[in-house]
Amino acid sequence: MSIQMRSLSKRYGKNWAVRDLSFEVQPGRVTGFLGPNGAGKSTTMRSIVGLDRPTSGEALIGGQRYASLRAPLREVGTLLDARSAHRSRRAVDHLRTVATTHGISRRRVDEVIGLAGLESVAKRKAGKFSLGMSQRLGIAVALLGDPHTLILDEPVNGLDPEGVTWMRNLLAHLAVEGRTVFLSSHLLSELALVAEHVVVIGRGELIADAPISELTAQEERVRVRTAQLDELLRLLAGPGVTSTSRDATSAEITGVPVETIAQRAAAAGIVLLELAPVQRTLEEAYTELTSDAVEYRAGSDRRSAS
Amino acid sequence: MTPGRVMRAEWVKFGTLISNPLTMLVAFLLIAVLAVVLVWARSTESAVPTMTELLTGASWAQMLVAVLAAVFACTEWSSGTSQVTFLAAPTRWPVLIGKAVVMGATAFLAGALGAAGALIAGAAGGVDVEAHLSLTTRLVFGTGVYLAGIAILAVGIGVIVRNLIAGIVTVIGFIWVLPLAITLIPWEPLQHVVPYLPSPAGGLLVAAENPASNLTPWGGGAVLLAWAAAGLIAAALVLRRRDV
Repeated sequence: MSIQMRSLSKRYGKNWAVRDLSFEVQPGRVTGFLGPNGAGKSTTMRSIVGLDRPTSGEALIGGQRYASLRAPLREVGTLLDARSAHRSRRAVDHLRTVATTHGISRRRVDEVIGLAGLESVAKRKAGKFSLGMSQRLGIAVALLGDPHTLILDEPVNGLDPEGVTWMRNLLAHLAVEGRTVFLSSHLLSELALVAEHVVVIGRGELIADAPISELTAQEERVRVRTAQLDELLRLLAGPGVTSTSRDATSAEITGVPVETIAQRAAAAGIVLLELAPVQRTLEEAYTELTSDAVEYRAGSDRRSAS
Repeated sequence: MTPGRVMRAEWVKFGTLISNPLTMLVAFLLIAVLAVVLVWARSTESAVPTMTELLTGASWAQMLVAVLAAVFACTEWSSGTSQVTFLAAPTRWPVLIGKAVVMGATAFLAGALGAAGALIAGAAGGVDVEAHLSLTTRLVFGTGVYLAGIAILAVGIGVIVRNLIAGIVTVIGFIWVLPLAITLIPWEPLQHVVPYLPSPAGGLLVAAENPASNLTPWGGGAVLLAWAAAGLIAAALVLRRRDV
């Protein structure tokens, strides 16, 4: 079941949080949702699941509006805010409350408690949970109905390294089963490990909707380290070749294939200590795409600009 | 997801936070125990309380019940559970009805059982209850309806206001302060409005002697229930249009 955004627009007073947003999220893979703070990611996700009413346009799941689904939780599992359980209510009771709305069995409640690793704290009040445990409880709620679509806002927020790995494997597994996994994250390095496709928005508008491989594709870039750096750079200089020196002995060279560097260096008797192709990271691609659209930028100390 | 199941979930919400049943228990005790104390106090003066006096606790219980009902509604937003609740029930109205039923039913029980307890205490203390059996029945059921109507109205107000403190203040202000405030305003025509406000109207149900009023006790009950229904309709409209 795909998620379709059709010209989704949402206005608060005079400000457009989201403007004419259209894209589609496909099943069978993990799709990342990226954007600077305030870009409209939360608004978009809330509009998909009927928590926010769009000003115009619509968001559909498998062609239907969320509110018209007969058993919403059995089709879409959502985690938007980790702290959505009442402080004084036990975790297992919180799950029971949700399960009761859909006639989901007590057995399934125990199952998701196991899936989320909450066995030892299930009888504890939710107010006593750490952020990571609250996050796991939120995932448990999302998985309760065994849904074919998952919508997650910062699911690894607050998880310890073991939890992050667990989440990564869980999401990959769910995608392989053919489910639709749509998640937003600011942890780009982590996201790049699990997502295949990303949607990037900024200031409420679509910036990119492409596979990660496409966004990180670039001209060949090679990192070299050698004691004879100046000599090597002179050797390789030419049209379309640029280099950035990192320090006295290492540099990144663009526009020359790895093999050429190795051969020319060997022919000139230059000893290479390090020679490796460099892939553009998702973070770099993202920064480039959204540099104009950042709403909340921290003040920078110009003297220490990198 | 069915409205029936959503309602059952509201019962689970009620039962899994011990403060909820506990507060309803206190409301019941307010009525029953106050009557016991009154009977004992009067017996020291060799007097017997009237049936209306026996139910003095009802006006305190209504405040407690109103606040609990407003909190039961507002807590969805103050604790953040509104997200989970309306993800499970995106059509939204079943949640409102579920909360109204849970609060209404428990308040009715607290009121009716409290009144029954109060009148039994009175009978034990010498009040001639048997001679006025129809009155007794009306007082027992009437106290139940009174508390239930107030509770349902408070749920509606809570859903509209959402903010916890504002919800409590609005409920107390509307149900308790407003009638008092109006009687202080020296404008004759406005005084005719007071008997038709929710608390005074419902209060006719728990008064044994009928004060000078155009409304019969059950008429007063009907007015209160009309207020409760209006509150729910307003809450449903607001809930439908707004973001969660």
